[in-house]
Amino acid sequence: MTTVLHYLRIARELARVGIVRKSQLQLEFWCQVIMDCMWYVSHVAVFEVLYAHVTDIAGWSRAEFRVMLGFLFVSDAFMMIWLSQMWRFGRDLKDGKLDPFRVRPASTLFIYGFQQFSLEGCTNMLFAFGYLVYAVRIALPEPSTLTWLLFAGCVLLSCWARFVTVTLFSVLELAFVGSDLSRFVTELLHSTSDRPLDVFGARIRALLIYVLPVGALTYVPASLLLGRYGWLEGVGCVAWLLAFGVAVTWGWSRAFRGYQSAMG
Amino acid sequence: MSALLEELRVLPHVVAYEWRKASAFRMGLVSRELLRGLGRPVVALFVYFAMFESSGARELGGYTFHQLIAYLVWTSVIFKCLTDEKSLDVAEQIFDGYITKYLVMPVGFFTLVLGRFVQLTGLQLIASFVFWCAGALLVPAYWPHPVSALALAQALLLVLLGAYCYLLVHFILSCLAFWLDVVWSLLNMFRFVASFASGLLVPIALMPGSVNEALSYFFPYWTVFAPAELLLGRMSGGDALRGLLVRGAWTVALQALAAITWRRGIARFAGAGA
Repeated sequence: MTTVLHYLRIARELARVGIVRKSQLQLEFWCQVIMDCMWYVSHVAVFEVLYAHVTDIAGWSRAEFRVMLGFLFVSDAFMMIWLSQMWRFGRDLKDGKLDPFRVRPASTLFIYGFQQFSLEGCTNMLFAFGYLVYAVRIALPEPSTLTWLLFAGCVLLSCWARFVTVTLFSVLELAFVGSDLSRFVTELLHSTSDRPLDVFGARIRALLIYVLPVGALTYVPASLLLGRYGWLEGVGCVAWLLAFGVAVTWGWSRAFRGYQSAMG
Repeated sequence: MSALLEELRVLPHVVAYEWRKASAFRMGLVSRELLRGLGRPVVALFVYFAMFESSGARELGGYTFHQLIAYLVWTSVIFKCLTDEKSLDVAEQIFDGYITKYLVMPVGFFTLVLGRFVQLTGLQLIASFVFWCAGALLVPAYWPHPVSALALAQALLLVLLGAYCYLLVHFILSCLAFWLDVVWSLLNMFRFVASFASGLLVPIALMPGSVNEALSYFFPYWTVFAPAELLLGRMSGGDALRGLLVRGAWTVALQALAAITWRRGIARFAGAGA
């Protein structure tokens, strides 16, 4: 409990610093808000165009698909709020800039990954969350209290999956310095996360849910919420994703032990 | 005239320098340069297959499944040849205040940018050719071929001019760092808009007619969608001519804007960064 409070205090300080920093670059704040809105619009537009030609894609109706997109937007906004520094991990590693993070009073992964709190990310989270709620209200016209509880759990799962995937892919940078592999793999695999994984065969689908868990960003939470998973399957899947995430953070810390300044 | 010749004389050296930079990390060369843009069409292929299977239709928006595969192949090949927001580091040079070191070199600054462009485009053209040959050998039944040599020439011309327009836009947006300090969000905005308006995310022919018509006044349309359609035989030489006119106007306008932005920006630059 003390450890959790300690981390929460650090997160609060990082948020405070992030807000102060953003007050220096006010135009950039609005640019980033607009940028993410454009990203949302381009995603929505692409799939509205596709659904203008078919009624469902791999068994997913337009309404169900919107729920999946909503989870994509929410998990992306979470990434923007807390984890944007992870985009620069490969570069910082190559330039040998990670030493200060090893001597600070918390885990290196937490201090490094969560250092860039983003106020504009919070604004975009409002848009993303609004879209997700809108999509859920259309897909599930009369949601019960249990549905809303499940909804909250699914949002947490989606954000957790974002943290896990980003951490998992950044390990590649530790193995291949200067390769930009984490960015490449992230872009490659995340292009699967805004599609229903049912377009793939069972093996690829299992790979994308259980091993490279990009499916947990969107497909799994949307499936859980829309009742496409049975209870047992859903609980098993969530338990696996939680355990897998813990293992990934442990593995990251192990891999990071080999870090030396100016590795590149 | 002699100044231009001097710049051209130096250009191959700049290209060689850029090549050495790009190939310094071999795994980086493979992931950043050679495999660039190859993941998205594979995923899109599965989506289109699912759409055909779900609907039972033989055509979607005038495309058969084979044509959509061909469209994905051509657009991914073309996309590889375009600069992106990470291709230039001009904004970083401005923000960190070390752009001045390039100003005292015996070569114009834009020649350095051009050298990066030539290196990237040349490498991507070679990589695209190898990618196309590999596909033609491995899956000849599905792999697309240009409908004619003329269509290939027209498409290539449109792509190269379009790639130059992309470079100019990235250069202009990067130069805005003289005023705005941080411009990566602007560069990303352009990427999102251009990806949609170029038909990279979904063929523009699947969009409503009015959207198709409106997008045809912008250069991304003639950089990715139109060349792919030319190679598929769904556009004619007359369309290519229209594309060249639209593209020519955009190139002139963007070139002038790039010159103005650079001149004004560098005039107010303090050298110590932001």
